[in-house]
Amino acid sequence: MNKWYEQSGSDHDVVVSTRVRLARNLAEYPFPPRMSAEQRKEVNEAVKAVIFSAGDAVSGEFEYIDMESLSPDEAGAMVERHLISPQFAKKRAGKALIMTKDESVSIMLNEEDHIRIQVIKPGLAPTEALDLADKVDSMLDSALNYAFDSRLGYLTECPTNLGTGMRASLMLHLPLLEANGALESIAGAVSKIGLTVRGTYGEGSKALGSLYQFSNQVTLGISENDAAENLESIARQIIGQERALRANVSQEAKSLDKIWRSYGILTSARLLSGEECVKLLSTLRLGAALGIIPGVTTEQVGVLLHEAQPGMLRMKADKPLNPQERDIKRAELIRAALKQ
Amino acid sequence: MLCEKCGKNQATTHIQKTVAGVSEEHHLCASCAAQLGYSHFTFDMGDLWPYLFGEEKPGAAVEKETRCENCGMSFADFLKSKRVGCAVCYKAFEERLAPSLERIHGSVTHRGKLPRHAAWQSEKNKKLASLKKEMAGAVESQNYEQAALLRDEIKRLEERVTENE
Repeated sequence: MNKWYEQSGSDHDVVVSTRVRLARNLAEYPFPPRMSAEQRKEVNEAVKAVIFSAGDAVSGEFEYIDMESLSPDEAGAMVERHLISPQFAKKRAGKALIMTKDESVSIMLNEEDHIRIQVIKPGLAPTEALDLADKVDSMLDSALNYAFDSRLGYLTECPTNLGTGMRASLMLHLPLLEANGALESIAGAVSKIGLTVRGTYGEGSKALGSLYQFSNQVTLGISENDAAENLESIARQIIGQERALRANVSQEAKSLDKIWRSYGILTSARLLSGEECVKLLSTLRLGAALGIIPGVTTEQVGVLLHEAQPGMLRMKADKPLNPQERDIKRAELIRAALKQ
Repeated sequence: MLCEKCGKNQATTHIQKTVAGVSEEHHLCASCAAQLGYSHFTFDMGDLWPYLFGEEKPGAAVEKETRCENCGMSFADFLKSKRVGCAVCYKAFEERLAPSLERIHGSVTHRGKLPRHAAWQSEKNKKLASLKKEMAGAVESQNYEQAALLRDEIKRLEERVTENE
């Protein structure tokens, strides 16, 4: 079955993916840090029972993974695929994951909250992602007793998630806006209307690969639909600005040179570091989106961005890799993919 | 990039200083930056926590300790861990949290999806209000038989605690 990131989505020239997550807790239990091992098990079993007794159409889609049964490497590779959070991968005792085979729906159990439902879709699809998350949520709600307060909404371990418990985020590829130095002013402007921006890869203020994550910050006093629509309409303006700047790229010798050089290095390099690889793939993605490099699609670049990460390379090699071996494997992977 | 002072840790604090038209750049790790007094440049939600949820004025007289009856967490524990212990904590800390929630979210009243039980409760309240209005109307028009029927219906509905009774 195709993974979600192998599929094509709407507005994929700029939008890599859409994510929606809902935080839920069961009224009968304290929040995870204060739970006994026995209680964690009960929560895992309760949620598992709902999903796997919902009829073949639903339960056939999902698999249940006891996080304790995974190695640190396997868990790390799941973080790289945005399936679970880094904290969830690090301390795996008493935690479980229920996910669909295409990895588009994942339910983390006993993370910060008892239940975290996450839906990822390719491209710009906040409404679709929210609808699906809502369906999974209603299915769990039909059999479980959620912690809820009529004033504060869904009760969550951290007060910043109270209300809907919903975080919707869009990953946007903004190489031209970034080159124009516009990201800082965009970040400032969106923060005033309850959104935040952060880099997807890399640390600090500079986002590696020009990939930025926009998400809603406010969850109390705004409905799920309003928050998702708000995010989408702001994103549409940013997408429009990025596209306007991209309009002349195909006529600029310097830009074309940069794109073709990236392609050249990716198809010939024998050693590729993680950072260099993300930067080059980012430029290649721009070339693919503008149809400059025939035969290379944005989806293909998306798959490579996933597969070229250290944990994923290690899983594929099925043995520990030292940094140089990893860079060799990464270069091999990219060359093989782009040769086709 | 490594920290230019200790040369050991990753530089995570980047400082650009312009004095009298002369610019300098420094790249420091978190601990060296803190030593040199640059720590306030890191902008982490965690650093803002005491201001969001803590005492209005630092150093104000410590009030009587608020504690959650269900899990035993105190408000001071919450300020330290940045997380509440259980759902009941929100009732225990309600008053002290309200101003901070308003600062974070701009609102303290939920809008959006209701879980099944709360949705039924809200429907029930609406239905009760409309039945009571109807009963008052029946009394007014001296239709006592109808009013008695409505009174029984209200009583039955009020006694129902869950949807499936």
